[in-house]
Amino acid sequence: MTKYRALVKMLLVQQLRRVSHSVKGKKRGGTIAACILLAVCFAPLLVGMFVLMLAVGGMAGRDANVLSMLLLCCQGAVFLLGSLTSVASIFDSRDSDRLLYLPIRSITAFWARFTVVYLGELIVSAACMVCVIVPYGIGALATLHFWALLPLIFLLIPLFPTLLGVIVTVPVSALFASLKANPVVKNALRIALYVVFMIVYVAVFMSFGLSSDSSDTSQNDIAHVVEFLSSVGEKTKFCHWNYTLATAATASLFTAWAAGTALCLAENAAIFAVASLLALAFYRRIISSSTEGSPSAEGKKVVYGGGSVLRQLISCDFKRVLRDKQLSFQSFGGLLAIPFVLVFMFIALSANVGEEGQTILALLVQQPLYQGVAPVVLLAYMALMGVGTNVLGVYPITRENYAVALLKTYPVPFEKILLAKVILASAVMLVSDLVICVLCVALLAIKWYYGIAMLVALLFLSFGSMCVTTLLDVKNPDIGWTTFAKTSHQGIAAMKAMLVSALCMSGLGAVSSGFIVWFALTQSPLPLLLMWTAVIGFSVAFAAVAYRIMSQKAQYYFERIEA
Amino acid sequence: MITLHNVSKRYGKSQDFAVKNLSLEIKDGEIFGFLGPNGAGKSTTIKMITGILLPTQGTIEVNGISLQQRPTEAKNLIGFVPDNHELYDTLKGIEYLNFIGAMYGVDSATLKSRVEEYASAFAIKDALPNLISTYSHGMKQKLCVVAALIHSPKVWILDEPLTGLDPQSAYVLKQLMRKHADQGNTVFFSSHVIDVVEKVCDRIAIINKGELVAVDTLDNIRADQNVSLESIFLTMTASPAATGEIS
Repeated sequence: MTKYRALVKMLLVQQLRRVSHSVKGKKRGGTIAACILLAVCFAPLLVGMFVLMLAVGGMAGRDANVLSMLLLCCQGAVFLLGSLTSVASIFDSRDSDRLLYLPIRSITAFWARFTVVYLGELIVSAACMVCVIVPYGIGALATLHFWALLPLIFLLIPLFPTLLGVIVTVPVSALFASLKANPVVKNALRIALYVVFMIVYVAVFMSFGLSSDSSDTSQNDIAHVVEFLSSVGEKTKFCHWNYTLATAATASLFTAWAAGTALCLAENAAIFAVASLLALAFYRRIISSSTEGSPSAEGKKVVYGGGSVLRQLISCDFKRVLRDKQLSFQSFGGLLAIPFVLVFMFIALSANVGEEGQTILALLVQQPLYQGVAPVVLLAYMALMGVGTNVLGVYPITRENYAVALLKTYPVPFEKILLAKVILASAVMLVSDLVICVLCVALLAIKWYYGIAMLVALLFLSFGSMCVTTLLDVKNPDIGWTTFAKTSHQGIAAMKAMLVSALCMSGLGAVSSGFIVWFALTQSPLPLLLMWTAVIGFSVAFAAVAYRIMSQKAQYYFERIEA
Repeated sequence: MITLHNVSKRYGKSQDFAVKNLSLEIKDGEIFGFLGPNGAGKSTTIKMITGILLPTQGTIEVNGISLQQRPTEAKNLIGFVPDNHELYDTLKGIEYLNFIGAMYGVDSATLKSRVEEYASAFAIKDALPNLISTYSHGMKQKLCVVAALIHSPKVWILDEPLTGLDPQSAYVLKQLMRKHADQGNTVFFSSHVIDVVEKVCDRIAIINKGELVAVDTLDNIRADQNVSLESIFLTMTASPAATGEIS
């Protein structure tokens, strides 16, 4: 227990203590401004959720199915927002070899890392409690049984997703550890598994989709939400540990409360035990293999030379990312998020509404302004989200870690080094942008020529955004990480990048709004043609200005990195 | 030639200087040894010369080119072997050397001949197709040395270059250092192995607590021929071992 506590303390200090690697130290002003702006942007969403849950609680009352589904939704949020990437720090941390030679059992190291991840997930759990569970209880006029269980609910919400992450990751990691393939193949398989997981997730979501069997058109939206939660909660009783907790929280009798609570704890303990057994069996082997190199490359040819400085900078950076387990998953897996968002959007818009069973999408496409407004809105949204998910562009210097010192010794101008980073990030983003535009045309009924215009605009917007994010990272790189997933997960850099992008998108809105009004009044194609010319022109100008600023500031900030 | 003029370095908001008013001139054709106890400021000085750190004050020139004003040109003249191996583990050895060759503008034919020459001399030619993550500590060190030599730099800066090298490779490196200096180039080399410094270096400097305490040829520093450099070093750096405080 002493060693476990000492390990947890060390890991927490390592995670929470931030050392500035910039000469002038960390400037807090930008971070504080970013946090305030984020709070302002997200506050309406959280307040809206609070009000919605109050109404849901008021309408549903003390319904175990509804509460069970709410718990599952909170756990889904924790899983997607945290556990999915945080679990990586349990298995892929770069200081694993330092723990292996210490006189501690591997299971102790495992539980110490798990504890640190779990403590981090409690933050998301707290948000879920405040915005979902508590207002539901208030609206439902919950009894003392409900409020007495709140601390336990708070502690259990992140437990299952984190344990699920472990239970899924252990056998997969053990399998990969035994594979003799080269790192690129292994990383590609990991990303493929992630895609399969997301497809299964979408399929499950679709199977729980809103049905159109309700003939009572007088029901309001809250009633629909309650009906949905209740019916899905009924279907998801197999998540029995949530259902027993919900039953206990909505119980009228003390005996039912006590029995439900005990059963819930026992079921969570059983899942905990499964995770423990898996970790006991495989953790040491997984960690040992992660410190080993690849199989010998005997017989492979040696090729000399490799082209220009820029080409070498880009190709070596790309190879390093591709072959690194942590970086490749974060970089390429993250770019798949936006296409999945589009698919979700399509599913949501495919819901039948109206008397003739038309989908929301069909109704929207019929609107005269759809082809004018939808492509621009989608463009702005995708450009904004793309910046936040493109890890290659948001953390170009941070991901170098201490190797950034080597970059500073080369006789290459810093702006060229940063340009190589931006080109790599933009090129990878281009692939994602292409998929996005194809999906917009195929699923969301956008005209193909608008799809091409979107792609051209996205190309330049992405380049410009990558210049901005690169400059932000050069200014304050987060060097010294052991788990890149944790660093990128916690970093404010992605949020700052999205805020800068949001300001740019407001410019895009300003450019296009006049043309949309003109189109609304005349229904002529000329305003749309001019609008897209202006949008592409704005994108090119944004890229040019952003690149110029990055080039001018590159040397100043790069020289001040002390690693 | 490397010239440091009143170079000082303070980290962040600290009031203490890691290096204070350091002035040095390392001439062409000499192997210059840089000695000092742990934390004396050796690595800080080397990092300033190679451009990793910015001096808080003072100027640094490499063959007359200011590192602060014309950093790219100055760095082109330097071949640097760092003390820690923050290499790109996910690159193969040959990929890393190709990359370095491109950074320093070495054409393919020249790169090939130099890589083959140095990789054979250090016995890592067979390991070049493998990922650097599969290399031992010593092999990574050798790769760093090869990477620092392939562009035939005028100035070699080596920070603890012998650490981790087997005796054969250490011998080869010392021979190369001597040959390089004899050709009129500069070799700046820091080490904790005083015996090697005694045998290899033409001039040495001793730094302690950020300040230079001695700069001269070995003979001049060791005025009494019977006193070892080790004794002189311990005395100059006021080590407890030298004053007999450690039993």
